[in-house]
Amino acid sequence: FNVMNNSNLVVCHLERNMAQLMAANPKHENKMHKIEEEKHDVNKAIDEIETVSDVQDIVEVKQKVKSVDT
Amino acid sequence: SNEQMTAAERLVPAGLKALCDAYSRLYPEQPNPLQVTTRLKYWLGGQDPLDYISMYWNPGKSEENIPPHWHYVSFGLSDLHGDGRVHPEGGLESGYGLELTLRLEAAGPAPLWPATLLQALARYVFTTGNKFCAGDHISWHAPLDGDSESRVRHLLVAEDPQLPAIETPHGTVKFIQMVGCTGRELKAAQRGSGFDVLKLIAEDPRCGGSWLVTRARRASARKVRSARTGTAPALLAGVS
Repeated sequence: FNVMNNSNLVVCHLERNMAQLMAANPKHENKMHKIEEEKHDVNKAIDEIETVSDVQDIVEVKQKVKSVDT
Repeated sequence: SNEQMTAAERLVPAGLKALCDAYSRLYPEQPNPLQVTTRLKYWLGGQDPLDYISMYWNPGKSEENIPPHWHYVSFGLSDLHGDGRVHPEGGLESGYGLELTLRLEAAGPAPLWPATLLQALARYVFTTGNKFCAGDHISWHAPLDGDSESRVRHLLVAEDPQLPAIETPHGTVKFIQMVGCTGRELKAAQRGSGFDVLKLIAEDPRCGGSWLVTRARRASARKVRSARTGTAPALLAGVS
């Protein structure tokens, strides 16, 4: 039942609340896992992009060095 | 069953479990207390920051004038989940580093008004970022139990006498007890020290004993009343 006109507050026993929490937690864990996976994918993509640009930078530097030599 | 236990332990968040364990150590004979809980949790947009408030029956100690009472203990000002959904991760303290308690003398079933009171106090902490410390006083300006005849209309803040601070995987948690007080006691705390007034309340056998049990219907502690006419020590304490 509602507590003192606050419809958001209800009275239950601890065991029931913990059972509800445990039932809800895998969903939350799955959601968090998906978010982590997405973050990981984004980071991986960024890493790859950085790697490509690094290679390009190195190539550019080498070319500049060569041009100076010549 | 080991696998089931591991799954259960994994599914009950570590901060929440640490609080459950602390409360269970004090009340091992009450493994399944009644709780006031929230339908819409705070991290999902609810207005009530305390996910749970457990209500334990405490027989008190008649030989020390500590009456039988209900002991309300909160879950939510500290970090229950440790995943950043409510509190920032990291730091020495878990969340705000405290949980609220209140002891209420009552013969029948646990009254529910302390739950709304603790939710309102927790909302203040979340809204302002100000924490409660032992010795503080809170001007409430209304009977705590909603009974217009009650003189207990304000709060003093103490450390819970039976719940020492704990270490959790997310940091330390102190247990801060709210103690109902009269307008006269509030004024005395404002003039001088909250700790002194708490001491006077604890020493008056009519006022709830050394565990500072709130009695909704009581007069001011005796020595606080007499201190009203002789306020010099309290005033001097502020001058020095």
